[in-house]
Amino acid sequence: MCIPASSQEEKQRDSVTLRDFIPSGIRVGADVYALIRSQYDDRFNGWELNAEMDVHRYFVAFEMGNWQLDLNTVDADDTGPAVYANKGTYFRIGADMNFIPRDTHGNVLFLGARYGRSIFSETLTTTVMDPVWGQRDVQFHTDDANARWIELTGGLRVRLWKVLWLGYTARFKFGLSTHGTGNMEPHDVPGYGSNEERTTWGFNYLVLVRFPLRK
Amino acid sequence: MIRKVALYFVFALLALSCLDEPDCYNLNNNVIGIAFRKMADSRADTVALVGITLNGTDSLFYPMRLATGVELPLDVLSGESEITFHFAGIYGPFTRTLRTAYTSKAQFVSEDCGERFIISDLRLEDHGFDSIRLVNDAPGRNPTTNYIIYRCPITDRMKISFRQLAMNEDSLGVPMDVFVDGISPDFSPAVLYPDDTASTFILPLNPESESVTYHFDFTAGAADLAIGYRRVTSTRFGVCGNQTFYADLVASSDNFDKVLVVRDSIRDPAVTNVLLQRCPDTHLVKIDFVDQHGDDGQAIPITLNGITTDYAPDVFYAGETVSSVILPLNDQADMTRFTFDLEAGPIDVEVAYTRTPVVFHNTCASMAISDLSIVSSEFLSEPEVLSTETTFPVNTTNFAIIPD
Repeated sequence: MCIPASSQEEKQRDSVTLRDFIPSGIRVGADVYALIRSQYDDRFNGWELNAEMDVHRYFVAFEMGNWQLDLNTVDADDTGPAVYANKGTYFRIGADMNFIPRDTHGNVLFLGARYGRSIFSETLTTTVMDPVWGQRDVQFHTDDANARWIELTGGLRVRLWKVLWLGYTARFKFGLSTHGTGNMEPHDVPGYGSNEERTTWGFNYLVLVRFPLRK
Repeated sequence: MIRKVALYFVFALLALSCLDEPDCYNLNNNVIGIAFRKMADSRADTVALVGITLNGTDSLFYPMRLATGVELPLDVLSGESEITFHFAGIYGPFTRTLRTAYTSKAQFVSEDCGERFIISDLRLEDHGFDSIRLVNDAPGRNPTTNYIIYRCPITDRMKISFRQLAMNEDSLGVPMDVFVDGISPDFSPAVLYPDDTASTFILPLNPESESVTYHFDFTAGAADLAIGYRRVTSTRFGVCGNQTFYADLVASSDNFDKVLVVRDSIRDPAVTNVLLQRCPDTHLVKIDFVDQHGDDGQAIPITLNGITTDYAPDVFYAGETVSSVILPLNDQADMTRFTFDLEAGPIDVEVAYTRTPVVFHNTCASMAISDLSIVSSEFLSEPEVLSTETTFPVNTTNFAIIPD
């Protein structure tokens, strides 16, 4: 049977070989926003590293970071003095799917998911002002609290120059569960964010370097 | 295209993040609601509270209040609350305690709001009520019901009502406030309602006997009321045990004008079983002080040292300034002389009338007064006769006097 030349090329392009599943490189980067915020926001100190490795049109992603918050109510008008601090380390593991695998520049537009874990501590020192029981100074402290959650992710990776890449990841976070929090309800979970709502959003602005693993 | 989509995505997320400012008002959910209900019908029960106290504070909640439910704060820095209810009972105040445990967690909310406390996992530890049910283990920021307190039926309380009868066909009369020094049941040393003024009183029946006599101490004397009844013992609610129920009430008294049983069974809450009725006063005349006789006459106040009669030592309206007085006629005679002791001196007025024996409400033997007239008067102007018959309640002016 005779197959036209153009059809043969298309078939060749669509076919997936075992070689496609061998990672071609690994991208390692850092969250620029966290680094900049740490410099200019006295209340925040943190960093986050990201690594992702391609497997065909998918990426295996691993992220880890650390953040700490120092908040207080010194400037508030209608509340007693309260000082809050937390500190913790977190990691996320998951996968993304590239929706433009044939982009000539290798850029990536992806959707994915993550499973996150965090181990953190919290301290709250405050003066409780109660109309019935009066004014009382108290301190709450939690060590080794842990949390887990799920994220849906989406974002871009754009090759800037040679091995240098830029990108961002947007995160829809949900399903937070915390454990070992003692007599405190977490205000902020490192890696997840505010515990006020059942769902929350997150962003990473990334600068990455790609290390090729094969030609 | 990809860049545009990415930019829209970024701006949308930034906008959403601005809508997440917390509200600092009423952050703690440390208010528990407690409802009172009757076991018999699960309907709201009105309780008389002297007050409610909580451990760890001197504050008194709901002082001297009638309530079907209360809302109380929990101490956010504690894990347990002992709530003591002080109720008003006919034998005096009594207390019941409810001890509840809970979990309190502190949470930093924001730099504007500070911290809040989240109370959860409400647990009943101990109580002194007949029955109690935890219906919601999460206290709220707004009123909610966490506990329902049920009480067993109160079967041994009858209610009496003091009534004033009128000179008409109304056989029930109108509520009448009376002042009692105290009411003593014959089976108990307790003195109920000391120095109390009311028109109704709830009294206990004697569970050990088929009758009870109450001794009423009034400022002007004493009176006894005897109540008979039939007793039945049964268990209607397991938690309440064996209870005595009362029926077929009968009442008698030699001291009250009229005793009428209007309901011969006991209800919970108590409803009036017995009316203690006072016969109408048929011998009262009303005298107005006016500036002139006729329709244009205006009431004018006068200051009295007192008013006396020719048949009794009582002094009426002593030291009072009044524009109208109600005075008793002598129902044992056809004429009464009133002496008005004014600043200028005493002035006599003699009133004549006709007496006719009548019986009101089948019990009240009285004299109907009619044909009222002025026999003599030391006032410069002759008193004007406006009505020649007495009424009760006194709502008709009989004489108008110009106090010149």
